[in-house]
Amino acid sequence: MSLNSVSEATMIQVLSQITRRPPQNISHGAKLRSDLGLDSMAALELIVALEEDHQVVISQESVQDLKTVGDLLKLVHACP
Amino acid sequence: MKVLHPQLTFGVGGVGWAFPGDRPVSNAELLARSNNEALSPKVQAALDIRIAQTFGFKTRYLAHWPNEALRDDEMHSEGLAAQAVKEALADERNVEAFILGSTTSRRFSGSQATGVLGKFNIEAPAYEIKSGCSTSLASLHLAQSLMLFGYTNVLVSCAETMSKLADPDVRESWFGLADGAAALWLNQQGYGPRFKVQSTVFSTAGTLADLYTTRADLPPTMERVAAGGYYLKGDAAEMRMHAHRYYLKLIDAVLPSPTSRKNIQWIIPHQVSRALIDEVMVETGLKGEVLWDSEEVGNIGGASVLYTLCRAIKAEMFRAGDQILLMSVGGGLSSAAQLWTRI
Repeated sequence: MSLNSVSEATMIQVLSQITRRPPQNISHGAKLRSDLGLDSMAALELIVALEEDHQVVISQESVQDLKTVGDLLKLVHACP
Repeated sequence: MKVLHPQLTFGVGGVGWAFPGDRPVSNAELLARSNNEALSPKVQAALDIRIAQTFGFKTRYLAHWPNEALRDDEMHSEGLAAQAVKEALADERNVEAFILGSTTSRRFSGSQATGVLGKFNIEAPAYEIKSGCSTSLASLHLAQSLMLFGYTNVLVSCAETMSKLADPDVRESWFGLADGAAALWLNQQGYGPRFKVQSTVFSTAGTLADLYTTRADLPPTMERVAAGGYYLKGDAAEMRMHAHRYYLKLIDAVLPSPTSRKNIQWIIPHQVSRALIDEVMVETGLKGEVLWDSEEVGNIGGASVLYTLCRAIKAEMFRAGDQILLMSVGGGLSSAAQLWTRI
């Protein structure tokens, strides 16, 4: 896996683990806060999970500005 | 913001503190409570460290697990205060006045200060102070006033069970809010290390009373409890902004000159955000070593400053001539500072 090749399916799996929602309920356009309940603690879990399990480093500040799962994927794919 | 210069000298005849449970609770243990077992052990271990880096808390003592229902047998602030008082007084029972500071009282209309004294069969005036995270300094401010009024010794205790205010649905709040108590026996009878209070200031800004607090009225109703009315809530960013502003005001009031700021050896602030305190110190040119315990004990609210003061006195950290700045800003909004000299 290259450093920034987290697929949409993988991202949905990670989000499913953190938000405890079934993967089939998480879509590309799902809103991170209102649909998935991604609070600040869950955002921290997401950042650490991406770092530790997928070697992708994103900042807490950048996650705060994201709205949807699609935005998150864009950010991750833009990471070096 | 009126600054008083009492030049009051007193000895500290005893100190004590108490925490619920028999050991501190780690971030990892709290994380395990949030049903995150789907995350790999590697991620969970990394989170334990990242939470400490992000929020500034590694461990804390808890009377109550934030995601469980309240139980009658959980430790309350009155019980914690009594334990701290027992340690501070040892065999001494000559208490002329008692002040108990707590924002998390176990009693609705009753006095827990009286309840604590009752455990030691002491009859004396007993006052209660509730002033957000400035409760420690508001209590000391009153204690010193009472000594100037004629009492030759005053016992002060501050105790909190902040864990009971953590919203189960806001996991971030689980890591900071914690429980503990401290007690300090001030006397003018020659016992213990001696200090002089050079300056003291305590004030409130009632227009900000609802900024960061529990929102529901007492007594509780089923509806108020179900609506989360007794969880600590507020705008953290706005609270930080006001705290920053009031810390600058306090330091300007108590230490108006650059020289006076450079002469401080020790700073004991209320401990919720180390970054905020570091920022204030840079902006004001304040020097000195910050005593900071919240990484290990969490944010124990109104007991925070008194606990760290007690711990430092017990550890004999202060030397003759040392100047100690105590300061706090709390939700409510309350602000207080004192300048002590070890003599």
